Amino acid sequence: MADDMVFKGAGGEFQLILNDVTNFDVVLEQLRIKLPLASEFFCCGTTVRLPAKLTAEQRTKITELLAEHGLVNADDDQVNSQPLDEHERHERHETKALIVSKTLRSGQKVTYEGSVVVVGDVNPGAEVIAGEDIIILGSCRGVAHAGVAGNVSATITANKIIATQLRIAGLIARAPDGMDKPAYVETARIKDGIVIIEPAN
Amino acid sequence: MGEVIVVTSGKGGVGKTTTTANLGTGFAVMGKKVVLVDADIGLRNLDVVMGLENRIVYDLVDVTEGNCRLKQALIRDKRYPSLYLLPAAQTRDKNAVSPDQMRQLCYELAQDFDYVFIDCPAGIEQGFKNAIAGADRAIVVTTPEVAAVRDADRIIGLLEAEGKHNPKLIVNRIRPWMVKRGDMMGIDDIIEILAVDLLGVIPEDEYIVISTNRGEPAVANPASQASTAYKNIVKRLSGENVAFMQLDVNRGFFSRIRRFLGFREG
Repeated sequence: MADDMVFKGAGGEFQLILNDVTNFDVVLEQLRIKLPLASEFFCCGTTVRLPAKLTAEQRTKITELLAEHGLVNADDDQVNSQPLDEHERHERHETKALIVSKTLRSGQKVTYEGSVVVVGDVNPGAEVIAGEDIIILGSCRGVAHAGVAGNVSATITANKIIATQLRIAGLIARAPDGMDKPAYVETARIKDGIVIIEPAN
Repeated sequence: MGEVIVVTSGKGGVGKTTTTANLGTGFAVMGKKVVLVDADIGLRNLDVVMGLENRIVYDLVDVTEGNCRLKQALIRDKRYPSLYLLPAAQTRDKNAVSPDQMRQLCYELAQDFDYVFIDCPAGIEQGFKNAIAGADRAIVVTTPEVAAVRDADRIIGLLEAEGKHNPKLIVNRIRPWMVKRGDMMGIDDIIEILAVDLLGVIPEDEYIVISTNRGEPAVANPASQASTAYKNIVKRLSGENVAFMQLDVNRGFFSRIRRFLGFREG
């Protein structure tokens, strides 16, 4: 029975291959058992491509189940990250950014559905939560959570990323201990299911 | 009209009460008329540190509740004729006073005194809100520890939210030899996070323990390093430009000999 269901890795995502979908309830039950066991193997945020032969209702059910384990249905993901046309992109950036012109100190919290720009530092104990990107013109020492509603393409950019925690969509990353911080501006983003920090461009 | 200055920190045990006692005494030595207000209702300490515990008759809550006149509750320090203390009530709690009452009290005190120092309780609750209500400016005390700096940061944020901008920072209990070894946060690290003006740095000094136990503020003893640091802060607060103390570690052989012979550095 176990062979009826195979996860196959391909190009940064996994493909779910089902040999037999006649009894969908059995398939669902097997997934329910298999996913928790594989949770160490699958990184949170990994995309999974579902077989084409499933019905819309079956897709929804599997997507829900995957989401419980932090996995993303590849089809859904594509819908989310569809490039916006130039006009839409322009409008989005013009209307949905909150600018905070001060240093956020311990205990202070900024929550906004769009992007957040902090002109100052984010100190330890402070939190910035944004629906989209976070840009900090200063040091990020607190907690920054970009793409809080599940936007995996959200980024966190700061002059210095020394954050206690970086969160993007459903992923949480911790700064490595005792690493020297470079002098250039850095951006954190999700790549291949993990949060990476790279020089900002 | 005098100036009302609150001494606060967030974290407990970093030296708010000691700082209040020493700065107040420092100004009194200079001949300024000073009153120290203990806002730590229910956990009063300032009277002990000042050595005035046995002279308390009325306290701050008696004044706000109208059981006595303000003048009756003020204790005059006999060693420094222009220094007074308004003690906290020990049998009540922080809710016995409201921010409005504190504002009124500070206003009345500022009519008669050059400086009103308020010793703020630890924490960010009612006691903190009461203590800062009537203050014109704030001094934030921290020690070179991550937790104390974190709390100081929170306090600076709360002060700003209450419209008390540009608080001044005192870093207390710094051990220069530990900073040099890299085992303790340095002044630069602290300033980088807190981004406020530095008012002074107090070195770790055993004499502080002795003086607080005796009830004699350290600032009166010229031989103590902490005393010199406090005196410098008093001068800075009154507008003088005083250079920061050199807290270099000089543990060489000759330095030890000089120390042994009774020469003091710094």
